[in-house]
Amino acid sequence: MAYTDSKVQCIREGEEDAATLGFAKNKTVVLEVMHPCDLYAVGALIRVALDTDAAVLTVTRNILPRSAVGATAVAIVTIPTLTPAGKIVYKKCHILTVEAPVKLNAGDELKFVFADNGGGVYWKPWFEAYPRPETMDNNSDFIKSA
Amino acid sequence: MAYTDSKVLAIREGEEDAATLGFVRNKTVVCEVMHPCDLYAVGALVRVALTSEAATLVVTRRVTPYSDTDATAVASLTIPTLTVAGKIVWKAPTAPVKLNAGDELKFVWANTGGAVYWKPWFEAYPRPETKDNNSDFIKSA
Repeated sequence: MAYTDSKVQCIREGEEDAATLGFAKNKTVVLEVMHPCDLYAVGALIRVALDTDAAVLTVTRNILPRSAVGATAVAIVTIPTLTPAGKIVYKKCHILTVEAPVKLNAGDELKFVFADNGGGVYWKPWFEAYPRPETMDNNSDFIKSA
Repeated sequence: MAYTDSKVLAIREGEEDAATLGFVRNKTVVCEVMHPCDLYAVGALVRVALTSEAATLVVTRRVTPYSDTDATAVASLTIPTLTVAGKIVWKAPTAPVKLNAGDELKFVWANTGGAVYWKPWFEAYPRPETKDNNSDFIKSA
């Protein structure tokens, strides 16, 4: 991640107005981890309101790019019916039954799977994470170039 | 920008070289707010220089996605003629603007500036609010 001492993504990159809708239901979205960090919460920013069909957003940690081998559960977020646009539905992270931050390593992925419900919903992934004060020199996820 | 305790978007996401031009004139660009923060300045990074025609960039705060209902002015900027590529033209609002999660920052570049290409720029400080008592956040079951 690009910004040490940072916690959440406060303001996103700019997009043309018509392109900001986000993702429809039944979509899988992946975020790449660029620096070791502790993940405290995940969720979704609702861009277009749900109808009366509630939705489930399942978040997992991939330790290999584009592979579910060794992946672990992070949280299952229930998006209530009729959640209006502009709201963020979130859940603190769980490891097994314990509510605890998830340690992400550089090169990991966060995979968000929005189920095939929620009607005409559009959404974008949301997260809260604190970088860990690790250095590249002694971190096996980083390889120093010759 | 991006992350609490940070101030500006120091380095953007990667794009293929050819895709980095940005936006032409006469475009509306939106940035979504993901955490409460105080906005101190807005502007534009000029990616391709303006011609001898100055331009205007109007920034507003939307409180509802895709809707100008109850939107409020943030700043109106004048981009000077011949502003060269690589410069950031900025303006501070009269007072810091309090943005809430779920808001949008809308940048409208007028149909002036010749062959300009640009990208939105801002400076904001996150507020130390918690999700649990913020009505813009809904805690999942």
